[in-house]
Amino acid sequence: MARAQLRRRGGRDSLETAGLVNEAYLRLVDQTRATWRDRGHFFAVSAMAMRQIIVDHARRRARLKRGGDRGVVPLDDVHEPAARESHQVLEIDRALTKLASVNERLARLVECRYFAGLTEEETAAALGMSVRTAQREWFKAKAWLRRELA
Amino acid sequence: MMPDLTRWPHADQLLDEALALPAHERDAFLRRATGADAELLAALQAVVAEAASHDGFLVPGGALSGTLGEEVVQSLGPEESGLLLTPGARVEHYEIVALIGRGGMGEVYRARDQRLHRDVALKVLRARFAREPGRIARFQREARTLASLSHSGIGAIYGVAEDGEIEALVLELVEGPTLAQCLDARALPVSEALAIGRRVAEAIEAAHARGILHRDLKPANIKLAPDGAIKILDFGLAKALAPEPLWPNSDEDLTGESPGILLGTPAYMSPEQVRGEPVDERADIWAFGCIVYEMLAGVRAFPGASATEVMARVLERNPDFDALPASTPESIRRLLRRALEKNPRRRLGHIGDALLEFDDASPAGRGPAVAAVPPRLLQAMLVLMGLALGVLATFLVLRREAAPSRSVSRFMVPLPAGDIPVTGFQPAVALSPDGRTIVYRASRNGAVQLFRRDLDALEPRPIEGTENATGPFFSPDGRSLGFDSDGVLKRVSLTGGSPVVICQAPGGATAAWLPDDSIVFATNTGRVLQRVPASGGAPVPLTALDTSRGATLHLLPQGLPDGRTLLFTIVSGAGRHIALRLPSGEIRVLAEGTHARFLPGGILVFSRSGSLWGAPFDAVRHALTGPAVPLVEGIEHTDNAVLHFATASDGSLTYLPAGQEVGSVQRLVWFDRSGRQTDVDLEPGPYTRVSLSPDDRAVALTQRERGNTDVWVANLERRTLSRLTFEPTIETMPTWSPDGTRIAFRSEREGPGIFVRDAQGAGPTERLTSTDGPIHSPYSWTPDGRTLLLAVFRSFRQQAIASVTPPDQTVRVLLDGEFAQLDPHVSPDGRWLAYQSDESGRFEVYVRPYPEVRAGRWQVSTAGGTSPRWSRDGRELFFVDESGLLSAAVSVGGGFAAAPPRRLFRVKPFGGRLGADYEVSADGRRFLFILGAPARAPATAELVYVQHWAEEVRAQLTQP
Repeated sequence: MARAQLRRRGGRDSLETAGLVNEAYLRLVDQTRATWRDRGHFFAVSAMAMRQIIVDHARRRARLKRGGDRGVVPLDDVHEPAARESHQVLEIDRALTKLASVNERLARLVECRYFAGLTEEETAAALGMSVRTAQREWFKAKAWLRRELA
Repeated sequence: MMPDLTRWPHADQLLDEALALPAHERDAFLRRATGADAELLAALQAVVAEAASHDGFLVPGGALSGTLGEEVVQSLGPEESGLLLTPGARVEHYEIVALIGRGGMGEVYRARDQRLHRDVALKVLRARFAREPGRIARFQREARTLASLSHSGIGAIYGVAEDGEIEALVLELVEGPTLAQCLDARALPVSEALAIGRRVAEAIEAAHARGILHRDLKPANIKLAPDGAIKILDFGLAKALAPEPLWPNSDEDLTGESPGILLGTPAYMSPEQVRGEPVDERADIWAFGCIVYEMLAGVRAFPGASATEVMARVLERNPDFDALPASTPESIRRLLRRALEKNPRRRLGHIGDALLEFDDASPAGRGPAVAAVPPRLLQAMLVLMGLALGVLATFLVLRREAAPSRSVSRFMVPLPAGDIPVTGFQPAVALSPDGRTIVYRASRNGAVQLFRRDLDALEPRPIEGTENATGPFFSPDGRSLGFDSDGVLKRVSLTGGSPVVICQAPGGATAAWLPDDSIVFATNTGRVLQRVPASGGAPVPLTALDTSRGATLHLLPQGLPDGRTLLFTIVSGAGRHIALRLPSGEIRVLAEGTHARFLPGGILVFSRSGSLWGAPFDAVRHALTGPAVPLVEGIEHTDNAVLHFATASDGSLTYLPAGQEVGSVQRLVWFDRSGRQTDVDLEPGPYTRVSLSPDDRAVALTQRERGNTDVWVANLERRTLSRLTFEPTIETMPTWSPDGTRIAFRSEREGPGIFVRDAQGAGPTERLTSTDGPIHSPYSWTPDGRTLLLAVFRSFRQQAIASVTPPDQTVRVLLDGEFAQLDPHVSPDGRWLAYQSDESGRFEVYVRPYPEVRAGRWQVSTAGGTSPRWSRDGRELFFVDESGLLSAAVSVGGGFAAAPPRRLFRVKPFGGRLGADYEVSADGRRFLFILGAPARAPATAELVYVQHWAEEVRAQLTQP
């Protein structure tokens, strides 16, 4: 049937980030499927992709605010909170890049927690650390970022 | 700048200790612990302060607001229960009460017979089984015969029930534990064992007298009542449920049971069953002997750690009769020896004779030694056994090339029944350098691990210590295997021993083992190639991401034969390229594609668009020397990047054919107003988000397949499914226009927004809206077909209702707020807007005047509700709650008024927070729902093996 055919043709390349996030999330939430076991891997992949996708969106918004013109009519006042949010995300992203050069693991952890919204347990699985470590490192990362962004 | 805490080796320990204390004691502890080191104290205090801060700075998931909400929400929808039927559902006049159990052929439910007012057991056959042509007819024939069997010791078969696609056996409901549960590795008192044995023999005799064999007799099939009565379950079902003969030249009786049943219970299987020979009542007698033996001895007559071992024992060895308790009567010892005689011709021929032995049972001495059975040639038997079970590789030579120096052969390598290959972001198969050993990742009984299949062995073996492992790769000598185990790179000797940690590799590694005994790997968190000694140690980066070219990830390394040049994949945004890292450190991009592997004779094979491609390659000049051509299609892949294949140094190939994984599937079902179901004649698939055409003849829906989500149109009359959208991204939320000519949908393509296309797939796709951030999700058109209503997804929790009137692309927000408002539908007279909102804390259905939405608001649902839909005459508003469909009568005389909703029927809707996935027919009398269907799983999964494949590839690449 058509579906099988589609699969054979393989469709087109779809590892663009959006597809990846979607796929990762589908799998994440579909854990009733007992066959999916390497959760950590998925968490890590989705967190990384999330950061990228969120930052990309934030950049596009920032461009828009600077007068970029894509023919989009603003939805009343909705861009205001979104713009604030974008600004913050971009600041954190920049700080995180810096943090990665000091402590790569802390940066990955913030990706998992802040960008992907993973729980401590999930983050621990993603980064191959214990839950207690994930908790402690999160406080460390927050302290570092707070100082950096102050 | 914050001081780097790694300067203090004990900082982490101090932090852990401090955090373990109540908040008010932490500071004092830190002061004590740091002594005079004020810098350390300040650094630790800053960290500990974060544990107590709740000022909203950097909260978990903080970045998640914005645009990803719908993906998350949508994913939350499918709750795959795997259940075919939910309590309250009906099959004919049987109402489902609860799920009792599930087995290889389907689920067993407790159900209420509404006519006879008794509870029965409904064995519902899996759709897969029910669809096999010819099987149903045979099954019904068998069931009728079985229904004629009536004996107090046999669980009765009342008959067959069918309802649409559902096919079920109606069985007597027998309460109480099974004999298997009572035995549980301990013996019964001799008198009790004999009493049970006698009743079992009587029941078997009654069945045999009618010519009915059980064929799968075992303790798990025998129920014990408190009063000492027994009931044998599933008499004759093994045959009724058997698949078509496995081999064309074997008749039905040769394969009286399915491989699943065979594999599940070899402990009670007679030698002739093990060999796949015809069986008669003596097979039941053998099983009976095994059961009596086990009751008395407390151990199985033919124990073994694996099915193979058990079957070898069944064929070769006699039970240990010395293990029977001393008080076992001589007549029973005699009975067991005759029942467990390997040669059927010399075995006890009639179960009635066993009854005589029970009559004779009296305490007596030990019998004479058992005559040894001439041992057969084990090798030959194992081969026969393998054939019967379909476990042995089926050597299917599909094509022989005349030219190649070594002949190319193709084999199917079946996995044992029930084992399901499991893929992921790392290759799920590996091949030893000599091509003789395949390692693959599979799930057995829900647990994932690596299995090793030697081509000259009969069965795969689990590799110890590889639970949850993935991404296997061989050492150059083929004696060791590396793999990723939950973010840790490990190695294990294939000749035995426990896995050893090589290094941490969080994020999942793809790796290669080089001849110098180092391992090159890449992880999704490390992102570049790293090298680590195979003996373990700290990884050293080998490559750097060229971010100027957008590179985000290096992965899937392989060493070229020189042992110094690495082949790998670069992911950069949407682009993927195969590349080389030369010994000098220079990176050279070769071609578009991923997951490249070098084959002997100067060939590179790699993944492109989910297929395996090949190109001639000059390993000295490090360049491709000819065009790439597609070689193999239909290989399972993950997101087109990782193909689940492996090659060997001898040029052999193995791969996992596509479509064998278990996936979540849904089916379409019509309900009438009373809840009666009729399945839509459309094969279940990964369907979501239905939109019914205004004439009820077609359904637009979303199909989600491997990260590629597209809108399809199913013609319900011609039962065809055709694709409407083609972008390699998410395209969903089809919304049929009222005149039936066009379908709007949302697309995440470059320049995302809402688009519309001719429903027949003719003509171009037109843009309706553009979005630079929030997702625009279409829900419905106004009755005049001029305006499209949509939800604007600001975040996971916050959605606004808006409209767009083409060709003007202005999105007008109608309803906004700090909560979720979605699924807008305008009434047929165009005056009222129904939608769902969680402003009260949970979703309720509301109605407002349209287009003046501020002029009033009425709540229609009273105890939660989502997904409002108007009847075509506008007199009814339907909506769903967690347990089914409701209807509220609507009057719109002066203003809007809705009667209290009443429930039409119960159904567990599919769809989650975004609202249920259902539609109302034009006449308002039928409702199309998407419901979960049982997961698809192939009867037997298999790998494909192509020996000396490189010969064939070389020929293909050198053709003019």
